[in-house]
Amino acid sequence: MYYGRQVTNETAENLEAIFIDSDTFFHFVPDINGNFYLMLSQQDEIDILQTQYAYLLEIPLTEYIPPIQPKPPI
Amino acid sequence: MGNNINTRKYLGRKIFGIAPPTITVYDSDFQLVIDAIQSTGVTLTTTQKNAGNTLVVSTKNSGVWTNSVGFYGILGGTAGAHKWNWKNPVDTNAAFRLSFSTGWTHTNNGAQPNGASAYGNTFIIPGTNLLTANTFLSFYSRTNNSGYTAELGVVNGYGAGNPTCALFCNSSTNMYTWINRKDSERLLTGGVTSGAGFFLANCNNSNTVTNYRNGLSLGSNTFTNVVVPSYSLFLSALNNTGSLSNYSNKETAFFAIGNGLTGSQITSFTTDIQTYQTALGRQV
Repeated sequence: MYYGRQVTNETAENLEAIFIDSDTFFHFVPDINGNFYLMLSQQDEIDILQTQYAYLLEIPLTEYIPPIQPKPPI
Repeated sequence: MGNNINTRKYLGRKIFGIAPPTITVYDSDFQLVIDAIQSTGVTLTTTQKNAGNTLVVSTKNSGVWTNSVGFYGILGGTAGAHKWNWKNPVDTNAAFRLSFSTGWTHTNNGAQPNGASAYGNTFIIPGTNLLTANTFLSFYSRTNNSGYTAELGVVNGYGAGNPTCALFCNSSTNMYTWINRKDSERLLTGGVTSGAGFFLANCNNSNTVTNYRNGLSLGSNTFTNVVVPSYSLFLSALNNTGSLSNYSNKETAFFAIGNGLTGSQITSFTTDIQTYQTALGRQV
């Protein structure tokens, strides 16, 4: 079971691929309903806490249900 | 005037049990790796330095180092330390330095993605940076699980014989690989008893693709339709023309990508990787 922070489509579009620091960038993923989620490790949370994106940490964690995967190439 | 004989005496303290300081000289390429990692604020231990140096020297001796385009030792315990391509530890995309998305946990044991959103961009484009038919993909997994997950992968769109370069270590005891072939030309080999271990897929000058786990061949097949993806190879997810799927949660402690290896090189490489992981206390 996965947990993440649901964000608006606008937030996901604006922050996708933006770097938090020199090594790590934001990546948002859609859930089964097309809502975008941000899933962070504890290390990410510590890093983000020191940035202008700390407000994202105030978004409560909710369950993330991944979309059905497209047919893989087999 | 008599002979000028020096009769002066000196007194000192004889100290027992203290060895003179030793200066270790590392391989020049590995010294660049040390410098790159430590430039991020990480201090490598002597054990870590010696393990990395041994790996570089031994893979140079076997020729694996020369064949590698991307060589990632995952040493140092942070994203900043793990991102370096040891073949060219320069902080640019052109040097194939990794960029990590959110969702990774980095420790001295390796780099673990969350299996739902985390991936890494190698910036290695098979169609541009690898020999077309002759390529190897390798991945040291510390996680024993099963799932249809891409440990390394890129495809130019699903279906219609699109070019694919990917390594799926363990899906219900099967290992799937594509070595710059049509997506229909995948090598499926069974007999994967654990999702942990050193996985390697190789093609070397013969159109024969072979899968290995811990140096043992799992099987081979011949594929002749060589086509190469034109997008970046991703770590721990499948890059389908910029759309991602098949996220993996296998912790990696090493991976490398390069041009095809000989059988003896694969044997040496496997031994070198096991020695490296054992020296670091993170072997599986």
